[in-house]
Amino acid sequence: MTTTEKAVGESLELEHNLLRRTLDGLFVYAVLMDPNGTIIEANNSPLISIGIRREDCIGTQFGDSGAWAYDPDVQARVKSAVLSAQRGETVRYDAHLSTAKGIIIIDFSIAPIFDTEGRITQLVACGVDISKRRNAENALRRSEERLELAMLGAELGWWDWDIQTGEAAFSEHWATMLGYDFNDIQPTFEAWERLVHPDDLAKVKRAVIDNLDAKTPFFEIEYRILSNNNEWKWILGRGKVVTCTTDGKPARVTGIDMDISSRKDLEERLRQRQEELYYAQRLTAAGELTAIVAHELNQPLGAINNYVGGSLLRFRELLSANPSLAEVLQQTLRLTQRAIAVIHGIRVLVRKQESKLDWVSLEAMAEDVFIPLRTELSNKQIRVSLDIPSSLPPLWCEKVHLQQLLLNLILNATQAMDTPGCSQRKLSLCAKVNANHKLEITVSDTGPGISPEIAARLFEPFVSTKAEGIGLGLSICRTIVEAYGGHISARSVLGQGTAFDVVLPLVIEEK
Amino acid sequence: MNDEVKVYIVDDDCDMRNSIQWLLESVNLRVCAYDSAERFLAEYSDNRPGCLLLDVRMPGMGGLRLLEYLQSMHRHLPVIMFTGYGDVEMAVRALKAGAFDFIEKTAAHQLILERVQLAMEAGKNLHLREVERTKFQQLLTQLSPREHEVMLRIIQGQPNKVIAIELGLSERTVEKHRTSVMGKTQVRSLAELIRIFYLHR
Repeated sequence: MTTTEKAVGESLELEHNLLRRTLDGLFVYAVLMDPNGTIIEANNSPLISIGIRREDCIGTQFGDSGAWAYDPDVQARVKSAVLSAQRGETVRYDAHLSTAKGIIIIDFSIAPIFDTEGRITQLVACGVDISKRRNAENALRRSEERLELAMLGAELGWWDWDIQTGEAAFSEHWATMLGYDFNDIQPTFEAWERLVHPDDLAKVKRAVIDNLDAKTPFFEIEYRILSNNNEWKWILGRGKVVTCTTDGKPARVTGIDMDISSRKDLEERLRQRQEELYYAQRLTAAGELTAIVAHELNQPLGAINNYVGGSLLRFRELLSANPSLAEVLQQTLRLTQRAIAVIHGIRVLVRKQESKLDWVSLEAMAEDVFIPLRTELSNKQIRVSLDIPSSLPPLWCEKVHLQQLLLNLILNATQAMDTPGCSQRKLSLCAKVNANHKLEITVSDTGPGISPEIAARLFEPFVSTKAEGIGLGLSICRTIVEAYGGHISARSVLGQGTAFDVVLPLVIEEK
Repeated sequence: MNDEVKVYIVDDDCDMRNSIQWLLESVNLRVCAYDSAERFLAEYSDNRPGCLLLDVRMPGMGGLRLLEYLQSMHRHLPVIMFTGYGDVEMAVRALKAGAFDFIEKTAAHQLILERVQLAMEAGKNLHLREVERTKFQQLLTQLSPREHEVMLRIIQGQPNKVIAIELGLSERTVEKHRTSVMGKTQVRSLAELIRIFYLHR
């Protein structure tokens, strides 16, 4: 061996060692085989992790390696891969190996190495443990699936807006919720903006910007958005900034949107119902007021009428001697009749609403009246007990009248119990047909009760137990009940509560 | 002066009561006014002719209940319901319950007088009938049981011969009872007996 050869030899040895250490340091399984599949070399450290020593495997057939010999199927697959490589092909697949540490997943490949003439000189097998990555990927996928399922279940659509690029990703459900095809919508912020109702856009933007400026922890806003069939859908949107740039500026905002159109619709109907009720209440209040004024004025006007008319007859002789006095009395009479006619006119005007008599079910009506009051009742911690048998015959009356009657009695009961000292709060509405075949409705409360002085004048107009009350409610109730030939009365025990009894005749078909 | 026709007024409103009294007295009607149904009942005596002007809405026993009570007791006192404006339903119910008429309190005085006159006429007639009825009932008690029996058959149109056979009497005896019945009931003809009997039975 010459010095040069020795030097070359040493240099090779050095290079080999370097390569060896490099290979050993890699966390990749690398195995070099001759064209027959006999192992020539393998890196060490990964082998240790699966419990195989390098010395033991060199010179053995790669396909017979103990690493997969435990399972004929796994072994067959490796052997077939070796055969493919021997034919000049590269094979790569994810191999599941059972080890002392459990199943590991290897990104496995085997490829031939060719010389300059295209002959296979060696085979090289390579494996990377991708268990952790794959497990993480699986976990992420499962978590995404779960999230997707949850969102779908809750009918939520999600979106994800990259502020820098203006790109906006969104879930398929977000599009289908609005009747669009997933591909119909441009994945940009501007595309979303164009769909928002112009009246709501400023409000929505404000909420988002406040969140971008970190003034709010998240935003939550109800707005309308144009659906594919050109209808406005109500959306409840919630979202927040999830990522910030290194200098603290918001970079990504994500959120969920929910179709709340049906809830909004219900709310709207409730609101309308409530407005109708209060309108009816105002109308009846106006009617009642006019009735009171008419009654109070008609009495003295009628009396003037009688006095003057009587005088014209009584003093006939005197008056024929004093024509000017007769004239004055005639004028007085005429003016009195004019005043009476004016009052009559006002009454007719207020009564103008056509009366719409109909069969009304008390049960349905009670439900109608209670729905808009639900929140108020629960806020005031008032328990409601309804006892209206479905077998009750319907009433032949004007719907608003019955509505008004129930509403007034219920509101009175509610207000009666809305005092700090009132601990037990129960509002009952019972109805039955009594022995005289009349309908009996009782509305009772567990409020403080009414003092006897007030109780005596309870149904008179302008009598109220409430500081802010006008005192028309029960007067209206009486007017309504009496208009149907019924009767209303109150029973009250101080400190225990008050009950109002309404008795209404049931209409029997008249001949 | 029991037979003097009077207008009774029941109204809790003092001005209305006094003014109506003034109006009615202006045409020389006799008026008795009360401020409540209860007071009227306490003072009104059953056998006086007249009519009643009754306010519908009053505290205590209201107009309608007084009307109902009177209808069950003294059917010979015509009642005019005196209503405020708009008490049409009330008026209808009053008429159904047997009221003679109803007038709005603001009606022209001529109309009020007219209606009151009509009611008084009716009241007089009802009173006369009532007097006749009481008298007839009184007269009937003077009949012997046999006379009573004969009367019932006469009214049904049975000839004396038939009555005699059925009651086992002679025709002469029947004829005697018949004359006695006509005399005791103070009627001049069979037709009058039948009229009075059916009117007041």
